[in-house]
Amino acid sequence: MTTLSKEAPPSRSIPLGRFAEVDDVAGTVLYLLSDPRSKVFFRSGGSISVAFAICSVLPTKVALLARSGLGEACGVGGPPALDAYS
Amino acid sequence: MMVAALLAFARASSALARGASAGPSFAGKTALVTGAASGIGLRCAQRLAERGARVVGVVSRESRVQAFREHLEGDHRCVVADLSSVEDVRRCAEEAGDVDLLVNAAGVGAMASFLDVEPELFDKCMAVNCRAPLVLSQCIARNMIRRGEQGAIVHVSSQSSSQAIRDRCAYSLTKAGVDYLTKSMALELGEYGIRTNCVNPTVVLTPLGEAAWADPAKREPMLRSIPLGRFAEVDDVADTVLYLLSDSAAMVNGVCVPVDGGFLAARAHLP
Repeated sequence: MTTLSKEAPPSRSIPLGRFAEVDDVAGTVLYLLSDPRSKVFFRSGGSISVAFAICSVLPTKVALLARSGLGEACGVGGPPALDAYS
Repeated sequence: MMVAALLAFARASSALARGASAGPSFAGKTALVTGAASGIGLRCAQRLAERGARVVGVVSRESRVQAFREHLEGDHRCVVADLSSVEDVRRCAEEAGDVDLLVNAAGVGAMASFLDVEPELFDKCMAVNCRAPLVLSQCIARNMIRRGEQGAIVHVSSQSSSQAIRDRCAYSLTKAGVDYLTKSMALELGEYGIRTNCVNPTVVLTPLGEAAWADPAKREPMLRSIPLGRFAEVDDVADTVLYLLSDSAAMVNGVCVPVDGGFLAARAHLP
């Protein structure tokens, strides 16, 4: 398994090739909160909003969330069909 | 007195902030939108144009060019193409030129049960709903990569891509393909800074949607399976598409976003 460290390039497991900035998460949180129409039509209690809530609390763990499979749910850079676990 | 003044200032600032953040700007961007003569595609085209994008709309017939022009003010182009033809799809990309944002909204329905699906119907549905987004996205992504420009692509899928719904076998199968296409593109285009996502709406109240769900015997059970108790408006979907195209979603890549009032979250409780 690839060891994740601050220095390790994230490109192997995150297609966009970078970790999330706090603003990446905040931008999406604000979108989800912003407009009643948009907000309510996301999956009620679903994985997207829950995962982003986790990200906003633990922004430094965003990359780890992606690697643990929550990446698909919260959209932090790419789908989970990746080969970085080997 | 001072407190009142401060409160008034705070209210004014808040109002200004809301106005400034009313929506993303796409000024200077070129957006290619398929299915741009009606429904979700048209509304996305309108909203992108309102926010500063140059829009190139793709419509299926010459008679639909007028509908596109009537709804979009300004200098926006319209291309007529049969998206079931690979040649036409490639011509769309050529005529659109350099594109920064792509919305694959065109689609055809195919109302038939599994036992009744005709291969011809399946082929047509697959060609327009699944192959056309693949080929058009290939052309647009190659152009972006050649120019060294980043971009965003959004496909319009469906809630039925992951939930079996009666009489939607062929249609839903193509939408399941769109979901996979989204993830595959996200994986392979991410390194170029090209993001790909899709939206998965429930029944949308377009003229086609209204007609397809007009029968109360079908309509009522579906409505009861949506926790919010209503079908989607076109703007519900367009809002989400614009968000996914915007810089607010700069790190969102490879997701299929339900715009379904909770239908998929609650599917274990279908009546």
